Amino acid sequence: MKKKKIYLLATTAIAIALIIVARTALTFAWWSFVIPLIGLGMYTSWRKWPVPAFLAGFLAGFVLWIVMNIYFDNRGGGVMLQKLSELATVPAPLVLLVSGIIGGLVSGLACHTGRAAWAAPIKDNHNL
Amino acid sequence: MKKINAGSLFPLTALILLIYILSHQLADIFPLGKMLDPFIGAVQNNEGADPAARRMDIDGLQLHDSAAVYFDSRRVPHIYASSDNDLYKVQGYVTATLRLWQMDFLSYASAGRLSEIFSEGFLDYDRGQRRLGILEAARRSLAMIEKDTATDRALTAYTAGVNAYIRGLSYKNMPFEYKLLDYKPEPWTKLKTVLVMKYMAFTLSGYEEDYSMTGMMLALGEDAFNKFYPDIAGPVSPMTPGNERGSEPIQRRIGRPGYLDYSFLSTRPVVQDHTYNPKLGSNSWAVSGKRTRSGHPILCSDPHLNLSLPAIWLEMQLSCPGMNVYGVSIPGTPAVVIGFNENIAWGLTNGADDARDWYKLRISPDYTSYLIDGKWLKMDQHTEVIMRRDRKPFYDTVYWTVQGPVVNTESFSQHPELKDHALRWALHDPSDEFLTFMQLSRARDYKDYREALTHYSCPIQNFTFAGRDNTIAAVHQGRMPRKYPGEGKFILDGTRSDPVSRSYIPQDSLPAVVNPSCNYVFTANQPPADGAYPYYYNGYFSENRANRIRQVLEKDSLADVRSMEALQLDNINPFATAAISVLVAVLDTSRLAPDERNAVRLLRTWNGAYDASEERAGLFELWWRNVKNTVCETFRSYPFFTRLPDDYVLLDLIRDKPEDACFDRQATPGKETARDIADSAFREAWKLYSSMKSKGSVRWADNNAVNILHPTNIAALSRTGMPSAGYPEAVNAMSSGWGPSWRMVVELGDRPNAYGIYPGGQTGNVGSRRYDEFVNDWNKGHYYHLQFFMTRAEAAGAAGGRWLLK
Repeated sequence: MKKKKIYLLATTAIAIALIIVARTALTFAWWSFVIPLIGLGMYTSWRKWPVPAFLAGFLAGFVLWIVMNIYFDNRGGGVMLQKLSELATVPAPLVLLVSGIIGGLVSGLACHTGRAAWAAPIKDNHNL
Repeated sequence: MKKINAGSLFPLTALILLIYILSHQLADIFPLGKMLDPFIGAVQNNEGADPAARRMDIDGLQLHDSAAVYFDSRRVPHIYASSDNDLYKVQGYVTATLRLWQMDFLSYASAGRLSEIFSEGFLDYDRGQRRLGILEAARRSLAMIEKDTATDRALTAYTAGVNAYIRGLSYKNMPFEYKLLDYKPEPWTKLKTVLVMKYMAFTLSGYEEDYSMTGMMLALGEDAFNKFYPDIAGPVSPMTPGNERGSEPIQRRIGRPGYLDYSFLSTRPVVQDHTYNPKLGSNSWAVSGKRTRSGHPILCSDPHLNLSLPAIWLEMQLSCPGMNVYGVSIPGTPAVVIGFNENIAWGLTNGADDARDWYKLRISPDYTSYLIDGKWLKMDQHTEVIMRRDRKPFYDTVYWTVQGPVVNTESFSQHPELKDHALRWALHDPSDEFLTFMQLSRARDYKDYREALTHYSCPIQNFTFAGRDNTIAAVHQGRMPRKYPGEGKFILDGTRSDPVSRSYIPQDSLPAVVNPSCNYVFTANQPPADGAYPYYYNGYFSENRANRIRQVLEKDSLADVRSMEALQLDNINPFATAAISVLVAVLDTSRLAPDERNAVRLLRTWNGAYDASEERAGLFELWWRNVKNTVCETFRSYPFFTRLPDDYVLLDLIRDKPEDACFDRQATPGKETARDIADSAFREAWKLYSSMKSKGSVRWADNNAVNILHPTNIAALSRTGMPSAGYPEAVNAMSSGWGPSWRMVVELGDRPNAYGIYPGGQTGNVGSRRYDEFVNDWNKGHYYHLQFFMTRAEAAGAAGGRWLLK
């Protein structure tokens, strides 16, 4: 159980690192980070890591989108999140939550796609 | 053996679908994926990205020599270049940095291209713009400009500067509105610059009421028409010859043109056009040093325009050999439009002339020819292609006659009453207004100023002037057609060629005043010329502000910057006091209740100032509104009715002809007089006013909310509902959607001492706290000291951000 948690945390951390590198070093389309995440999914499958790939990816995207949106917003004077919430007529935390879900879904699906694509015979393959 | 698992196709498909959905605008919601992406999305538009605070070296402008931009504490750029060419290039670059989306959007709106940005709802608007001939007019003007080396070079340089900025943009640092509306900036062109200028002409000279006045003339007859709709109403202080008393313009009797009969009227009701506001006015005046405390001349200018965020103006200082000018520019166009240099200052007010005429045509049913002087001429036609977002292009055929475009036709008609009429509009004539502003920037004296004005034609503006040598002047500048009295007031006969071939009033005969004996000049959209002026002109003039400005300037023999600011913020509407004295005189006070009598007493002590805390202004407004709602009832039944006679015409009737038939209510058996109207109007007003007072506030500011709207009308990007002092007929012409868009006071001398403010902020970036930085101060009537640097070294010493450009 503990081992699984460690793998989950490690995969999430790697996913976060990959997204940051992809999003800051490269200037391709906004979704370009899915490519390394698919690779990460494949890697976990190849190395037979007992890890729910979707969950790891989702956590990475969810946390990163929320934290980075807060970070960039605060660093830049904190106007845009407020404007977005006024535009969408919803509270600012909800805008952050939606951003987290979007980041999470795309990242999670990317990891899961990679893991599913690399059809390794993993005993503890999960349903995700 | 490991292999790619076919079972991954499902999540892969889901992933692709999800990315697609998040990348596109769906059901008018911005693309969520891109917009909420923290690395390139909306949060990247925060002020942290504001480059105006930094010290930077910027390459890629291909300047002849390096140039510098120093930003002061309010982010006003002070641009230093070694040639005109470099200067306008850097101006284009800096303007785009601060306002790219705004100027780009304005060029789309002007050309009739909004369907390229919005997939729904703007096709009719675009067709209307194309048919009005705005895009065609811009093309013609550009063709003319390209023949003038100086303007063409400036426009080319400005365009290159804007494009240098656009080239450096990626999604991450793109203005927020592009992300919101999901499109990209296109390369800037000289045509787009001309389109922005035409847009100004479009809003400032677009008002007319030819069709409505045609109907009124036919329905009322000459006598009544001249009584109710005279060219000039009320007390007038004309611009020339220095506003001495007793020099009012001549009131000319307007005859019914011989050709005008009922065939000129359609059975359809007139469609009111809310695009144009006849009250879009301005104030500007200059006081000679003989009447100022310092002995130096002072020039003031505050153009009243639709208030928008980002603001229509952008403040800057432009400096190169032979030029050192400070003022406001219109984003998208080179040079400054209102401003000053070491030697001169100039201001602008709208000329308010009647610039549009309609000609009723005889057209063949298939629109291939039209009749003129008994001959059928071939109709010019061309196809306008309106590109549409997510749809096939729309093709519209636009017809032109010798008079101008046939705006409303069988296939498309925003104004059915003007179907098959040709529009003649000075805006269509090729013109180069840029040259005027470029030359004014360098002007050293009165002679240079007059020379600069000769290039200016549309929209007609009053250019006020003050020179360091104490010369003051004002010119009603533009192409004023020579007209017979009443010409252009009614629909013209398009089957004859004689009203088409017009000549214009010569440049040296335009209404102008220089160094009048009173030692001040002023313009506030009043009739420009006095009774001695030999030419006929007509327009949509305003009297109240000009009268009030004259009243104050006459008394103020020792003007200074503070007293001039106070005049720009003056809230007095002279009509209110005039009206109260007439209305109270006819009122039957014996029929009033004690509280009503008390209210009348309070009104009589009011000086007509629409100050923020004033409570009486609201009561007067209600009273006068009720009076207007009940007079001239028969007029309102005409399908071509659009407006009541001028306030002063009604007031004169109440005072001089209280028994006039215009006061009789149709629904009552008796015959009402002005007294009955004033009585019932007051009682109703008092009832409503009392109930408003018991429920909330009747302070004027609380009932005079000002809104500064973003071009998309999105509330989150606008400032709305700001309680404000002022009134459209007061010098401080504040109203719900328009008002003083740039208050400027300049005292010339050894060094210009200037103050100014506009409702907005230098940056158009909605993610910046500076986006609406000046708005609150503007609404409170504060001014900023304008930092005019005499030398580059001065600018370098005082500045915050600094860019070095190559």
